[in-house]
Amino acid sequence: MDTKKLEVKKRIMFIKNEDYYFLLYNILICLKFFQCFNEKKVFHDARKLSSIIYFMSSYEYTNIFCRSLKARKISNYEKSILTDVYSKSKIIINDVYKILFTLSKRNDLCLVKGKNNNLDIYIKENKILDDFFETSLFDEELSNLVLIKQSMNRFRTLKYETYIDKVFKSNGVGLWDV
Amino acid sequence: MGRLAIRKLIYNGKKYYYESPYLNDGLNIIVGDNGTGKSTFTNLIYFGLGGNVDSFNKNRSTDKHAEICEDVDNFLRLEIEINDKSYILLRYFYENEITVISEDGSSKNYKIFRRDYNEIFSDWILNELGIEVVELFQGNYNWKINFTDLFRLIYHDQSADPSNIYKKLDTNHFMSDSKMMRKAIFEILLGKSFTQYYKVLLDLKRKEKEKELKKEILKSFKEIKKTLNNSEEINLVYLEKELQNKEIQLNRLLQYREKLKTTNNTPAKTIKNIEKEKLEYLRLELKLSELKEREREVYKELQQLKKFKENSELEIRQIQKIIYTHQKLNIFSPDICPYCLNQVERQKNRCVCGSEINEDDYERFFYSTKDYIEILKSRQKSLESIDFAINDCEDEYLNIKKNIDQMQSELDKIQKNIIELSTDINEQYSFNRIRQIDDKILILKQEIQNIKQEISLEKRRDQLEKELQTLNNEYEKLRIEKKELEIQSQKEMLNIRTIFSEYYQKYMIDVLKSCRVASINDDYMPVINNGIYHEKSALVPIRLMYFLTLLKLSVEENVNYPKFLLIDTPQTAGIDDENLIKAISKIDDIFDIFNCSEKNKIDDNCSFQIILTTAKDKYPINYEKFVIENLTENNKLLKLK
Repeated sequence: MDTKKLEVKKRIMFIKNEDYYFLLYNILICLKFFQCFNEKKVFHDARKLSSIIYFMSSYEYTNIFCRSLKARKISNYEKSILTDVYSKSKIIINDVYKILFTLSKRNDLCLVKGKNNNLDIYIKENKILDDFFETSLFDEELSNLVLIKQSMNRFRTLKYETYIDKVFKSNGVGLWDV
Repeated sequence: MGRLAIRKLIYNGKKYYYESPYLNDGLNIIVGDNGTGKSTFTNLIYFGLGGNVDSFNKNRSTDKHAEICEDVDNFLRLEIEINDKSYILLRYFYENEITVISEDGSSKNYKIFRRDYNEIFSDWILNELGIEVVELFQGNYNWKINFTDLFRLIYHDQSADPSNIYKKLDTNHFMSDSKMMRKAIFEILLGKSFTQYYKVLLDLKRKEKEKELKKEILKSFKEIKKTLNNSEEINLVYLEKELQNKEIQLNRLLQYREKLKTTNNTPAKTIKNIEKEKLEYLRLELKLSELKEREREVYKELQQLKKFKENSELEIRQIQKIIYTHQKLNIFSPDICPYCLNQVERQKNRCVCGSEINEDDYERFFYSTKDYIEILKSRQKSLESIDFAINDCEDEYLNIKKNIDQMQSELDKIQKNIIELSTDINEQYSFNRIRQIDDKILILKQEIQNIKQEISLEKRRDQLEKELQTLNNEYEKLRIEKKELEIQSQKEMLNIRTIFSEYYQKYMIDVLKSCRVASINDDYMPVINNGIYHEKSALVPIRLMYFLTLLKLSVEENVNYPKFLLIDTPQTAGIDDENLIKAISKIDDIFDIFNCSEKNKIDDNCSFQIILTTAKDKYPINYEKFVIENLTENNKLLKLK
C-alpha cells in the first residue's frame, strides 16, 4: 500500500482508548499511586485495572465514579457513562493481560497468584521505571486517583466482584461475563 | 552624437602652479616616471569635470597628495570643447561648485552634489552631450545616473586590479556599486533606446507604489466603515431604495400628524388606534418568542461545542502522555519476541511465530513516534477549527440576546403607548397620539440621517474602487510598454554586443597571442577564450582593448559615448614592456592618428581625443610626436611659484 495511504489509514484507525501505550501508562501510574512495590502490598485482582483506567484518565469520569458510590440516585447521563466504561473495560481486558505479561517478562512487574486463581501484581522498582515516573506530566491522573481513593478507601485490596457491585451493579448497569 | 574634448588645464594655488600645453584631437601622450605627476594630471581632469579625488582632500588622514593638500586658495581651470563649443570650467577646491563660462562670456554656477538643487553640473554637461538623465531604482532609493558614473567607462584609471574593467566608484557615492548600475552605464553610453526604457521602468515602479497606496487606503476605509456600522455589506442601489421608502413613510406620518392636529377626536377613533397598537404588540410578541426559542437552541449548541473542545484538549494531553510513554518505554514492536523479549529478524508478511500475516494489519498496534506526532498534530489542528466554531457560536448568541433586548424594549414602549392613548379617549385632541407620532417621526428622521451617511460612505468607497481600477489599468499599460521596450532594447544591445565583440576580438587576437576568441557577455564583461583562465599579464590588454573598442564604436556608430578617452598608466605589475608597448601601439591600428594634424577640426576621422599617460620608454617609439609633456624628477607637474 502507498506509504501516504498507510499513514492516513493509521491516523484514522487510531483509537486512543485502546492504544497500548495509553493503557500502559495508566496501569503504571495506578500501581505507583497505590505503592504496590512489593509482595506485602500487592494490587489485588488485575481485572479492576481495566475499568479504573478510564475513571482515572478523565476528571469528569472520576466525578461520576465518586457520585456512583454515594447513596443517592445518579442521573441517566451518568448511568450511560458507567455503562460505557464497563463495556470498554470488557473490550480491553485481554490487552491489559498482554501488557502485564510483557512487563513481567521484562522484569518490571511481578505476577503473583492470588486467592481464587486471580492475578495479583506489584511493580519492581528499577531505573527505567524510576526515570519514567520522573515527570509532572501525570499530575492530572494522580489527582484523579486521590479522589478515587477518598471515595473508595480499600480499592487496592477490594475483591473484583465487590468492586463491580458497588460501582456498576448498584446503579443499575447491566453486567455480563465473557 | 555628443563629443567632449579637453583643450587645456590650468592648476593655480597660492604655492603651486601648472599650465598644460594645448591638447589636440587624436592622441596626446604625457610621459613621466613614477611620482612625477602623471596620475595627478588625469585626476585633475577628472576633478575639473566634477569627480571626487580622495587624495586631493586635505581632511583625509592617509594617502594625501602632498602638494595639493598643503596648497591654499587653489582652483582648477579646464578649457574644454563640447560639440565644437568652447567652455571654461572653474572649480575651487573644497567648494561644492563648478562655474561654467560660455563662449559669449556669460557664466553660471552649478552645484556638484545633488541635494535639492534643480540643475547640477552633471545635469548640465549631460544635457550638452545630448545624454538624457536616467533614474535607476535600487530597493528603496532612486538614483539619477550622473556624469561621473558614466565616466567610469571613459577614464581608464591606474588600477592594481584591472579585471573589474570599470573605474572604481567614488568613495563619497552613497549608492553601493552594483551589477545593475554598471550595466546601465554601458547601455546608456552605447545604446540608443535605453533612456526611454529606464524612464518607463521608473514610471512603472512609481505607478506600482501609487497602486499599492490606493489599495491600502481602500482597505483601511473598509475597516473603518465596518467599525462604524457593523451591518453587512449593502450596496448603493439598495440603500437608495431604502432611503426612498423611509422618506415616503416620513411624509405619510407628517401628513397624518397634520390631519390629527386639525380634525377633532372621537372616542371611536382613539379606540381604533388602540386596536392598531394591540395588533402590533401581538406581532412583536410572536417574534420575541421565536427569538427566545432560537436563543435556547444556540445556547445548547454552544455548550456542546465547549464540551467537545474540552474533550479534544483532554485527548491531546493523553496523546502527549502516550508519546512520552512510547519514548521512555519502547516495549511493543513487531520485531520483538514476546517470550524472550529479544529482537527478531522478522520476515516480511510473517509474524515472529512464522505464520503468515498481512503486514498492514500487523502494523495496527505498532505506531512509531512519527505516527503519534502526526496524530497529535491533526488533533491540534481540529482544536483550532473548534475554536473558530465556538467564536462564531458565541457571536451569534450575543447577537440574538441583543435582538431580544431590543424587541423587549419595543414591546414595553407599545404597552406604554396603549396606556397613554387610553387617556386620549375623553380629550378633544388626541394629544398622546400626536406625541407618539412625533416620537416615530423623530426615529424615522434619525434613520434617514444614518442611511444618508451610509450612502455617502458607499459613494466614497465606489470612487476609491474606480480609482484603483484606473490605476490598475494604467499599471498594466505601462507593464506592456515596458515589455515591448525591453525586447526592443535587448535586440539593440545584442546588436551592439555583436559589433563590440567583433572589433574587440580583432584587437585582442592581435595583441594577446594566446587569445583565439573574445567577446562580451550579457553583463558586458569581456570573456576571453570562453572563460578559460588567462595569465595576470593578460589583464592589461583585456582592459585597454575594451576601452579602445568603446572609443572606436563611438567614432563609427551614432552612440552617446563622447568620443573621449582618458588613460592613466595602463601598466601594472605582471606585464612586460614588450607586450605593453604592443598593446599601446594598437592605437594607431585602430585610429588614423598619424593623419590627424594639430588643431584639425575639419577632418571627421579625427573627431575624437585620447589622453594617455605612461612611463618613460613605455610607449612605441614612433609615437614620440604625440608626447606633449615630459615629466621628470626635476620637472614635476606642479611647479612652485
